[in-house]
Amino acid sequence: MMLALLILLPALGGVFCYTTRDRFAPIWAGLVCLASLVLAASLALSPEGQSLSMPWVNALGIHFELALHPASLPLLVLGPLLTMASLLMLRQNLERSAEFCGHLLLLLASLQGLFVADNLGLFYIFFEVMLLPALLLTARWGGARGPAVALKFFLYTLVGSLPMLLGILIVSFQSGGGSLKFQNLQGMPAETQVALFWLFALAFLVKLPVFPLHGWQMDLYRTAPAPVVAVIAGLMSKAGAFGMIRVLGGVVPEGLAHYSELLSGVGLITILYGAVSALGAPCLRSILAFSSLSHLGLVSLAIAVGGKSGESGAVLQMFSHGVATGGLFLVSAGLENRGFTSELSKLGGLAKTMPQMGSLTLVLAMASLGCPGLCSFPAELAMILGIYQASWSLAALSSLGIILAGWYGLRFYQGAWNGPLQEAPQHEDLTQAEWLALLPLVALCFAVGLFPEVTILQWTRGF
Amino acid sequence: MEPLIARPTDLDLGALFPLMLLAGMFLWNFLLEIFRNPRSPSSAGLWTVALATFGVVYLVLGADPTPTAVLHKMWVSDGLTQVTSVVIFGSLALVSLVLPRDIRESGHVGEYFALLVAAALGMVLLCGAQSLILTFLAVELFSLSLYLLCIFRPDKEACQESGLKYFILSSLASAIMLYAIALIYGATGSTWFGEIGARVEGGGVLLMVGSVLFAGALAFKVSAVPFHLWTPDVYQGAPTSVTAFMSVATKTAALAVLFRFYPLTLGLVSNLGDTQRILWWVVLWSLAILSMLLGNLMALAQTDLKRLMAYSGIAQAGYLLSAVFAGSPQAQSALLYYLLVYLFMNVGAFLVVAALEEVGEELSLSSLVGLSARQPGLAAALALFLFSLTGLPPTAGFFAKFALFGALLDAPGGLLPRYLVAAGLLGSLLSAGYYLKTVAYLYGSGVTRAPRGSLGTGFWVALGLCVLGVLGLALGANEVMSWIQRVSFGA
Repeated sequence: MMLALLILLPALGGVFCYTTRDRFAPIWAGLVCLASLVLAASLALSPEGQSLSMPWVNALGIHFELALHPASLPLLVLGPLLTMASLLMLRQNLERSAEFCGHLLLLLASLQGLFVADNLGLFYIFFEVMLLPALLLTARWGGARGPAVALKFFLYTLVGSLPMLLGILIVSFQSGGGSLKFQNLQGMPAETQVALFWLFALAFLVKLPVFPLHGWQMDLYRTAPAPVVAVIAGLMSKAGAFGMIRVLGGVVPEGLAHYSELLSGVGLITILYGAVSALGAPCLRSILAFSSLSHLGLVSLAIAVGGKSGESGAVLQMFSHGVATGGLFLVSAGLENRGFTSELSKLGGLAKTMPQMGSLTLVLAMASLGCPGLCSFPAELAMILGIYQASWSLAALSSLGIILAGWYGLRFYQGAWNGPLQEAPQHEDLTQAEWLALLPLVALCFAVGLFPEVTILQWTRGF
Repeated sequence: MEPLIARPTDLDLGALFPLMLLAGMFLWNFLLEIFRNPRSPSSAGLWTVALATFGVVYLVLGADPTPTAVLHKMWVSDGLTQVTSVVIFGSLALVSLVLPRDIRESGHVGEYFALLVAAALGMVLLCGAQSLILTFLAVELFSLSLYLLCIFRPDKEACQESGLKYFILSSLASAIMLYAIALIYGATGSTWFGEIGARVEGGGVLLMVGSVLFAGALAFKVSAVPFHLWTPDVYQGAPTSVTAFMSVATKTAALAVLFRFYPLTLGLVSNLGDTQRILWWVVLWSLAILSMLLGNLMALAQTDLKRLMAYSGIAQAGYLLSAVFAGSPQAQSALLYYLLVYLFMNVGAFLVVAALEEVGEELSLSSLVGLSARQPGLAAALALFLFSLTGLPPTAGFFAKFALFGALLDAPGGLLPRYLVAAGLLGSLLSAGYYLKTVAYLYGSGVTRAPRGSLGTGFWVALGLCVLGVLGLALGANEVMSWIQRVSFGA
């Protein structure tokens, strides 16, 4: 029942948001997120025995079956937290903010649904549904290019997910039309799993994204409103990684093993391509986009070849990346709210006039580049260890990405916050709302970095 | 040969009730018009809505689904007839709820509704037709009514053109159908579906040519590629409410008779040669695959919403035809569910177009940018219908496509149905290109200007029902599917 509430709360809250006044909508939506956060946290404290099963469409095997997966708990907590932070970072008097908050809550609801779905059909439904609010958010608040970019993003993901639909149809046909519960789909013949692998894999590789499939990412991350990008980059991209663990690892593990070399090649190229591109990226948002690409490439590599250690590292990294990169996108939202551009060449010396924001940004940037004591470090360590057990050369090459991360991470911070002060429209330091948004993320960076076992890793061993 | 004498089963009033209801509505609408005080507004619309809704309720709750042949076995009332009649009655009720301005101002409101009902009567006749002669009569009955409806805006040139185009091309299709009937009769000596199958031997080539021509004539009504050429112009020129009605109801009726005719007479008969069976299979298969791919490709290039929806109708015809191709009981259920969903999403989308005309919006896509700021309700409804037409969850369109593709994977015919699934998925992707482009435009940031007209309650009720239908058929998919299963196969 708690699991259903996890979806229903933001969904109903979002629908209600559409009917509220623009002024109150962010407050209302923030409260809904807070309630969801409390719910998710209480679930995290006692995750045992939570599941729900309600019949829906017998003829198609799609039922309302929910259960927790070891990888889902961190993401369930991250979702409301990041959404709440995004709401707090909203521009004052954003036009039609009631609609905006409604869409954002529906996005959260579908993501929460995805993370707890225990039925492949239901999983697919949530996987698609989350695109709808993302489409509307980008089209409406993405400026003149919004509609075109939103459409590009949607079509890219659809190219990935339609094959998955075909895969589900075939799986359902082969299993004789019973329920598509994940449990029932285990143990298909190895050759079937290998044959079906790419039908499923494409969807998640586009969503992450990995190297040749990342065409949507840059446009979206540069065009959509920054608080939305924080949720998309911090959380929605994790749907890809989560799908790899849940569906590829759960339904077609033989396929995953069979193609692990190809996948690791793709992952490695993604890591290096993202990292090198981030070095030359001209603006804050594109550095963050490329760094996401690079980080999630490592996640996909760890899931493909890293074994148990790689997988738990990947889950930890999904959380850490959400906190750090999500936080950094929120910082850039804060800068944009003050009228700053995202162009690095026009930024500089901001730490002099906005020391508080500068120091929080520094922590988030250090967390993102894998500084020990902060959240990405244990995650990257676990992943590299896992990859090392499979192949030392892969581990060596992929840790190149981490080294480069130090370079572009510092470039991100130094370019905008150090150096000579550029002329700037407004220098007001952090507002109360922004403190409330960023401080929990910064605190989590430390908490997870110092106590990864207590905060996240214990969940990934199953319960 | 059965003696042509009416037997008690021929007077099964329960089975005949939908036909009698429509015939009665037709006459009643004319009577109302004759005895109407010229200064008071016509009440024909209200009557049509009320009686059509009653028809839907009767068909869903009251009708007996056991197959009953009436009218000298020329018309059968079974699950297929019942569900397709629900779609036709439903679209009649939804469309009658709105009365667009140009029809209101034409001063012929009574005739308008009478003709709509007459068209619906022809379509319901077609849904249960068991004989080639009745098929032809039914097609003519609804086509003649639709010609008149298409030219219901006599002052508009596009409307006249649309009516004439439809008339000429449709007459050609009727001529082809008659020719096909003659050939089939020549080959088998019967016009009754049940006997054509039994008398197949010896009529090879004639029957083959006849049935392919017959399929062509019906494909014209379904507006499948390559018989689609009339569709965009006619849909665009006709009054939008008429377009809404014919885009759903005509297709439904023609698909019902196609579904009944082919497997019954040819597919399941053992003494039919393999080549013949393969020939009509390939014909249907190509119709389906061409419509899905070309319909969607052509729609991508459209810049006018109404025309875009016309091409989308062509593409959707391909999906529906692939269910006819599969022909299995599972495909029948999938087809019927798809049609029910199609009723709400397509009538809904066209009603939004009608509503946009009513409030003075331009229909070109570029001028629809930012519609959500000017008309939030209409934009949200249209977005929902377009999501459903694309086949995205959580709308019912997703379940319709899921069920359809599932039935196709299960269908006999080796790789042929699998190619249809592949084409269907590719088509869905292409269709996302224009459906979602429209949604992105609707929700883009654009100019705000005050609406020039207001919408009547009828519009909002009809659109609300369509929205409820699209969401309700998804939430209640299980109930609806098992109802279809029950009335179709009694289990």
